[in-house]
Amino acid sequence: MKKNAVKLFFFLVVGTAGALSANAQTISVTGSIQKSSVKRGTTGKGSLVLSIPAELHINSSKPTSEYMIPTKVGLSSREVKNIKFRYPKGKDIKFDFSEEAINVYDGKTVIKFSFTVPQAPKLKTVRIRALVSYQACTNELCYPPQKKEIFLTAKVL
Amino acid sequence: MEILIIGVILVALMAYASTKIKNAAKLAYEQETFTNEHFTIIKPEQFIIPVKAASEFDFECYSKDFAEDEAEKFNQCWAVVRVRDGIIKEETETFESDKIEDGVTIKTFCKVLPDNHLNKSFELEIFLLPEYQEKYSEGIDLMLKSFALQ
Repeated sequence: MKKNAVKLFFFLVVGTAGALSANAQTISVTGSIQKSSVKRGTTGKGSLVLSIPAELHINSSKPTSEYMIPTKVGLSSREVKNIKFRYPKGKDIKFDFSEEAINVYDGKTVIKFSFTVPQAPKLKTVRIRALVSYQACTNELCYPPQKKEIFLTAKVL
Repeated sequence: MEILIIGVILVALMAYASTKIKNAAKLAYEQETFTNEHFTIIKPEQFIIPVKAASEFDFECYSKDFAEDEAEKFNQCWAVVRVRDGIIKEETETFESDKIEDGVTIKTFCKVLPDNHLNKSFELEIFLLPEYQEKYSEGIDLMLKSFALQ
C-alpha cells in the first residue's frame, strides 16, 4: 500500500513537472532575414517570430508589473553592424492572478530588425544570433522563464 | 565486407558530426557585436555569451579559460551589463576598483551610461583576475569603448 502511494506520488510529481515544462516549451521562436540574401553596403531587414499557443501568453518587453519577467531580445553578429529593433506593443489584459492589467504578447508576435551589411568583398554570408528570453503564463499561473537561441543566415550578393 | 563498409560510414559520420560541433563551438568564441533595444557592445574574441534561462543581467559574457589554484572557480575575466532605475551618474563615466571575493582579488572596470529619457542607468562591469591583465587588456578596452546606448 505504502509502496503504491510512493509510486503514485512519484508519477504525479514527474508527470506534472513534465507537463508544465512541455507547455512552456511549446512557444516557438523562428526568424529569417528578408529574401535570405543581402547586398554589400546596404541595409538588411529581418524578423523574429514568437508563436505563442492559444492557452498561453508571454509578458511583453514592458509588462507594467515589476513582478513579471519581461521578454528580452538580444541580437549579435560577427559580420553585420548597427543592428536595430523595436519591440512590438503588447496588449493590456487583466488576469485572475493580478489586480492590474498586464501588458502581454499572445498569438503570433513579430519583432522586426534592421542591420547594415559592411562593404567587405570577402563577405559571403552573414549570420545573426538571436537570444530570446521570456516568461510564459496561462490565465492562472506563470512558468519559469525560458531562453531560446536561434541563428539566422543570409547570403551576401 | 559489409561490416567494414558500415564501420567506415559510421566513422565518417562521427568525424563529420565532431567537426560540425567543433566549428560551432569555435564560432561562439569569436568577436561579435551584441545589440538589444537600448545598448550595443562588442564581445571580444575568447569570450562566450551564455544561454541561461534566468539571468538578472541584460548582457553577460565569460572568458573561455578559468583561473587556477585558489581562484579556480572564477573565469579569468567576465563582464555583465545591468540596467538600474534612475540616474546613478550624471554623465558617462568609466572607473576602476578592486574587490576581494572568497579571498581572491578581482579588478573591476565599470562604465555607466545614463539615459535621461528613460530615467535609467546602463552599467557595464568587467571583472578581471589581475594576473591575466595582459591577456585581456585589448578585450577589456574593446568592451569599454564599444559599450554605447543605441
